[in-house]
Amino acid sequence: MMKTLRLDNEQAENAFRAIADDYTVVAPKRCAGRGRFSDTDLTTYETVESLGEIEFSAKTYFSAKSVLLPIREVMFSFNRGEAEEVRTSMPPTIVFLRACDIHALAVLDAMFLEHGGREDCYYARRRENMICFLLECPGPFDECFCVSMGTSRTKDYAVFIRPEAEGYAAEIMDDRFERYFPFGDRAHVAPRFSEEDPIPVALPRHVEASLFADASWKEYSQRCIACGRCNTSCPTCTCFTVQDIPAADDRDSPTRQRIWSSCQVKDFSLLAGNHDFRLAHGDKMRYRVLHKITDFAKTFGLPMCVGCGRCDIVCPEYISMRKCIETINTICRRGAEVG
Amino acid sequence: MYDTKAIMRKAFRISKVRNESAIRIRVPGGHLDAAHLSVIRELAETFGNGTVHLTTRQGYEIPGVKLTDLGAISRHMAEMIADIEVACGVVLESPEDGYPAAGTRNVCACIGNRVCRFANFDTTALARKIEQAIYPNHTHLKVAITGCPNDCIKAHLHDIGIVGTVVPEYDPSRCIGCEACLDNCKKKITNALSFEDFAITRDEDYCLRCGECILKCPTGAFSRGKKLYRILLGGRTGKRNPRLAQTFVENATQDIVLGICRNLHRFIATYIDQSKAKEHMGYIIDRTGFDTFKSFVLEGLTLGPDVKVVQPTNPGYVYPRRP
Ligand code: SF4
Ligand code: SF4
Ligand code: SF4
Ligand code: SF4
Ligand code: SF4
Repeated sequence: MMKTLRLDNEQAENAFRAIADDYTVVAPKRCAGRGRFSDTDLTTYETVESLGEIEFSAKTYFSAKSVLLPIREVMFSFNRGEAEEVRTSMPPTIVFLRACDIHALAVLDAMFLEHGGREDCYYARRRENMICFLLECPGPFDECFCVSMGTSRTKDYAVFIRPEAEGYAAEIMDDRFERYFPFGDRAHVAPRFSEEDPIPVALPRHVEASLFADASWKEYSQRCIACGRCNTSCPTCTCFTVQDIPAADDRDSPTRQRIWSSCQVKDFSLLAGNHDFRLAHGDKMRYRVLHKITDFAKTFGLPMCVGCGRCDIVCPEYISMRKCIETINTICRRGAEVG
Repeated sequence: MYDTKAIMRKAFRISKVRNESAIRIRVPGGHLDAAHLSVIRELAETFGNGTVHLTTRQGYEIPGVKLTDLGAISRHMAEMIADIEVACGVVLESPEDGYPAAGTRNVCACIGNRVCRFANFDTTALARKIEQAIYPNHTHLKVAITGCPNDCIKAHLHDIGIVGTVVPEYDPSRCIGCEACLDNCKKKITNALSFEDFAITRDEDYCLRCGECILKCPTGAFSRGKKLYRILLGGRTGKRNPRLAQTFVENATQDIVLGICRNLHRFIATYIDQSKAKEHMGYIIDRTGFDTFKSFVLEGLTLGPDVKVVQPTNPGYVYPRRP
């Protein structure tokens, strides 16, 4: 049974504290002084203890994917030749997400639960203990294109909470959470979703291999510095490397770790024999963008990009995903005319 | 007819053009409310020749004014110079008489973290605090502040240069081993980083604390730790023996920076060669020796365990004197 209500600050904080007693809560938080540049803040996902700590209005620099996919995850430990699977369990965890980031979970699920017909046990163990609370987007941020990507709306959340001028409004979709809200008046509460993108995009339906040779990628080779920020901030980038890392005190007992990787940084496509087939930064960009908008969809039936706009926000070179999609469309149209 | 020394003590110039002067306006930290520009324009158009010169020390110089007008000029700019100084916490007793002193030069600063991505702190804010610590004063002293070890303001050419640094903090659990930090430090800085067992180590002996590894890191594995300052000593230009400054204090807090700045004049006043019209601090230290300087300027300051005091050894470049 869905329940909607308004709460004053104290009621809301009490409810939240009771929830935080039973669950780990991860939400956007403005961390003072933690920005890349001096005297700047970083808004990112952190564990919170109270509603007051949550940053409801700004978009996070990093996504919440590290909850499900830690930057470094120990998979096995080796003890002098004996391998042992490391079974880390995640306590029941609530994560506050915007609509696009909830849609991003479908991409992660496709990759780690469906791909190859086998579940990835490390991901699965975390995923089953994760619960989504919705953060609303009354309007888009400048870089958003979720409406174009069909990720602007969702019903896939347990609870929605919105701060208001006085107190909070809440919508409880999941019965498990009703008991935390035994007060407040019933009211009409529904999350608002972004209705229109500042710059809409349309994904190309089909790209020809001839696109690879287009001169536009040369321009990106000049601009992109292959820093990898677009990957590390993206809610749907899932690439990782696997490394056996020796323990400092016992070099014969390494751990096997799965560590985030990024198609934009050096050595990602380095092969045995020292072959690297994507050295130019523009080629790396092309690979990333096409993977996001067409290639992933060929296997999984949904685009990888959810239009959250983070890659635009974090790029130090002002390279825009939307603009790149537009460029690809132009190349495709030109190809169609010629062809 | 004119007391040239009194005129220069008020920061006006004696021009090569007979009976002419130039107005000089201090802009601590080189950062100014744009509203003041209208006064600078009025001064240039009413009293000067309609042009303005941007000085090497980030002030304004308005040439072509008449020596007979200096009184009227001082009254015209009183409100502006009082405002600029009050923003630094310096209260001018009688701004309608012009500046009370010119020996201690305008405190220069690079743009710092109000704009620059490399900057480790707000240089303008510190320049204003230092202005309060050292001005007004007749002793000749040049101080410059730079946001990071790139030293765009050329703090290495000043008696005292303040360089903003940051301690990079490394969280191995966030590191993806992309080596962006390492490649950059190796290519551009001091090669202070190494990568072993899929983790970065930073060699404190070589790290300049410029913070570029933090700027490069795509995951925030490197993040900003404490803000600390490097204090450079003994830089100068000039005819005889120009010299680049060297590190005097490493890992200073802002309190130590300000404490040292406050103590400088007392040292100069005690040891200056009275027979000379002016003597640069660097030459005074050359005469008294570093230890005397050190004990004077560090007096009353608590340094803390991380602070290192080093003796600069650079003799500079000497134009030989004919025997
Ligand atoms: S590619 Fe960019 S816009 Fe798309 S999901 Fe990733 S970060 Fe968001
Ligand atoms: S597109 Fe931008 S963020 Fe991504 S690697 Fe290139 S420069 Fe970095
Ligand atoms: S010294 Fe550093 S902080 Fe100042 S402008 Fe140059 S690069 Fe920027
Ligand atoms: S602070 Fe500068 S010198 Fe030190 S490790 Fe980082 S990049 Fe290298
Ligand atoms: S830049 Fe950051 S993530 Fe990359 S190796 Fe250095 S510390 Fe690790």
